[in-house]
Amino acid sequence: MSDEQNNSSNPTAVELTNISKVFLDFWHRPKVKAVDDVSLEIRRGEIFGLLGPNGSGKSTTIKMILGLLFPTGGDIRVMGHGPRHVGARHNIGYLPEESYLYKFLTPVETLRFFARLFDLSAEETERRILELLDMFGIFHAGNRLVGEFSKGMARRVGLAQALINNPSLVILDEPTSGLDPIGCRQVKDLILNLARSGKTVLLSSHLLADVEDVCDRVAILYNGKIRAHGHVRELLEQTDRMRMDLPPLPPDKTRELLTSLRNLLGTEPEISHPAMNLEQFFLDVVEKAYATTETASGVGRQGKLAPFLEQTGR
Amino acid sequence: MNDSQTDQQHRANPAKRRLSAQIRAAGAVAHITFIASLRSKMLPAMSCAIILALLVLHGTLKGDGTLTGHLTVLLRYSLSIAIALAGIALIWSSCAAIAQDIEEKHIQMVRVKPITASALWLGKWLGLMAGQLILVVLAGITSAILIVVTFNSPRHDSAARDHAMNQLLTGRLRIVPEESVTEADIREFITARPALAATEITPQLAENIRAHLNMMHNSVSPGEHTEWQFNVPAINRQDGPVTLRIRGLTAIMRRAEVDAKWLIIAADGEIRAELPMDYVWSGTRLIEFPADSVLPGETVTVRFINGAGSNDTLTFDPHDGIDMRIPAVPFSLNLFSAMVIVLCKLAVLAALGVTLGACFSFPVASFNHMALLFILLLAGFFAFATTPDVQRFAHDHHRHDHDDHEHTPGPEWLHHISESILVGIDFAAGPVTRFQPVGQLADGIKITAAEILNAILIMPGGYGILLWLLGSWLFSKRELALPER
Repeated sequence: MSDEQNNSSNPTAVELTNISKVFLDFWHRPKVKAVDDVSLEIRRGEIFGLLGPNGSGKSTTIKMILGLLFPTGGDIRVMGHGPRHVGARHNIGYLPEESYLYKFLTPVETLRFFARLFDLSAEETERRILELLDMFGIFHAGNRLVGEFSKGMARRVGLAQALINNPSLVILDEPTSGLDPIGCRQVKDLILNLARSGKTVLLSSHLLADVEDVCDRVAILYNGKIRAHGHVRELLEQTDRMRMDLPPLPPDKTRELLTSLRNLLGTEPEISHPAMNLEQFFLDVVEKAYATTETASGVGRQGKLAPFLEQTGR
Repeated sequence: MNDSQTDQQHRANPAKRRLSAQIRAAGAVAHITFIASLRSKMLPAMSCAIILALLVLHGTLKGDGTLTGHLTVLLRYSLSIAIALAGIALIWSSCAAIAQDIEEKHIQMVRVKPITASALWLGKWLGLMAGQLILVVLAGITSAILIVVTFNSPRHDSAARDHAMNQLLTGRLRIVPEESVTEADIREFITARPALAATEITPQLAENIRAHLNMMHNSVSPGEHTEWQFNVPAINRQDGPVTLRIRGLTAIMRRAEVDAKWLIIAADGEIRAELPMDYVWSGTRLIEFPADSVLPGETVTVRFINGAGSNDTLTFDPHDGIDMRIPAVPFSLNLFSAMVIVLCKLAVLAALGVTLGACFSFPVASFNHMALLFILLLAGFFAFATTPDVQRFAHDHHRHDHDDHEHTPGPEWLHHISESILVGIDFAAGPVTRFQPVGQLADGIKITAAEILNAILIMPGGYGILLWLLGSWLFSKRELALPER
């Protein structure tokens, strides 16, 4: 069996074994222990969230997975290889916490540059560029310099470059940073769609709602150590409470139900109307406004998942 | 070959596929590096600066007032300054190439893609060299235009134009004479001196005898003569006279009259040319002979006769006293060759900058680059100054001038270490600094294909590859996402 076949049959996309990272000062004396004995396993096809406050070691962990930082101790395997293996990088897409794009390039040039690093053919490159620009709603700005973009638009270019190679492992560090609520929702939808098409997503964020909405499993880091990890539903479930969803009842039926519950529980139950969350309300308002507006200068309406991303592999 | 055939070949040979992918990745990096220099206005600004420098210097520096003098200044100084400007810009941009990508964190987007450290280094270097190619071509074309305009100026007569054309606007093959002192001469010198014949002849003693005989050969007393043999290669020569460049060491400061003459003698004894010389010189002089006095593919003898009526012994520089110059290539080809060698030199400068930028932050890398360049340029002088002969001379001179002071050298070991360092640096820089294309161009000396090939093999081919390997290795060992200190 070839190395490549071996790797694709391996159910683990990323494996961290007792990794630690100590940053040194100018005199090579230990300064900060950013990651302390972290072990993790991210399975193929899942959306994994790395959670933690600022400075908890999320970005450091991600940068060690990508080979941008070298662990002080422990072992890292990415798609069956060491993190600095050039071949493994063919299947990785990465969006850093800021979009460190070349300001003097246009989105089209940026995507063309990164596509050439992945050795994509010219035809394939142009097709993917068009699909990605359409998908992220920046088709109209494809030939403007990235340096002229708002943070949100630059973020979309950053996301597009992370997907140009149709990666099987997508690593997103604070992907919704700098995006408006519509952008945030779209990124979350994108993550779900990527997972549906069989890709593994490693997501780092300190925005808990983002992670809760999309992740299958999470690990919570604090001060470089994993404090909790597991399936989101299992971690959040409160087994000492129950919730019932009912259609609206007339007042007399409500009173009757309350009396029965009071007698059954021996305490006063709480009754209220469920509220739509603000994100959903905002998206509805903007969706209505979009339908009545002819042109907009910022990000355009985003398209559906680029067809090439629905396929697995490069 | 169609695409599917290429694909099949690549599948069959993964190493070849990986290599071609890395070459394409390096090409992509080179492309954006070049685009960056264009859009950051660096390249357009440098282009304007170079054109402006050439125009201003051409307008202000006129040399000795002659056409040849003016053109010499243009070629030797203005072009050198224009190239130096390009070099300074290159130091800055080569140090920034990787260092700024790290500082501005673009590298975090690039290095996580399937590109090796060596391909990234190579791409940066190629991108920088593409910019330098434009600057060097621009400097060459601007100089050529200025030369044409100056040459055709109505202020100069045809004699001035002929002189400039023969001495400067040509590429002359430089032929050095055969060794004047043979092993047989040395043996004869020893045999003639019984005291010397009885002692062991060490290599140093043989060398001293050779130097002595060489000096004797280059010193011509009144009523005597000396001669040199030149093997002229079979070349397609251009129109123009044959020039002898002579360098005298005569200590006489006045312009003393002599009764001397030069002869060019063919192998069969035929005197091809004869030229009288009626005054003593010191320094370099150029003597023109008719074009047909030397033919390609023959051996000629150049004889110098110091007439009996002269009062002074005339001495030629024993190391570089005479050479013959025959027009061999047009000036345009020589200019092109010079620019190729200049580009090779800039390639080493760029390679050093990219390597330093891969190891240090931009300010540290650019400071180190400047300092290293400064040391490399001066190492030759210092290495010469620390040679035993010069040290002995300086010591004797010092003692003669200041007899009342005791000479106090530093610790011997320190002297040896510093001397070794200087010699080492000079040895390392020597192969690069020995190429002087602008000097050759300004002297009208042909830059040969062998020199160009040597320059390519030594500079980008030797130093460039060494720095590439070193820079790539150091870069691959560097953590690229360290928090700012």
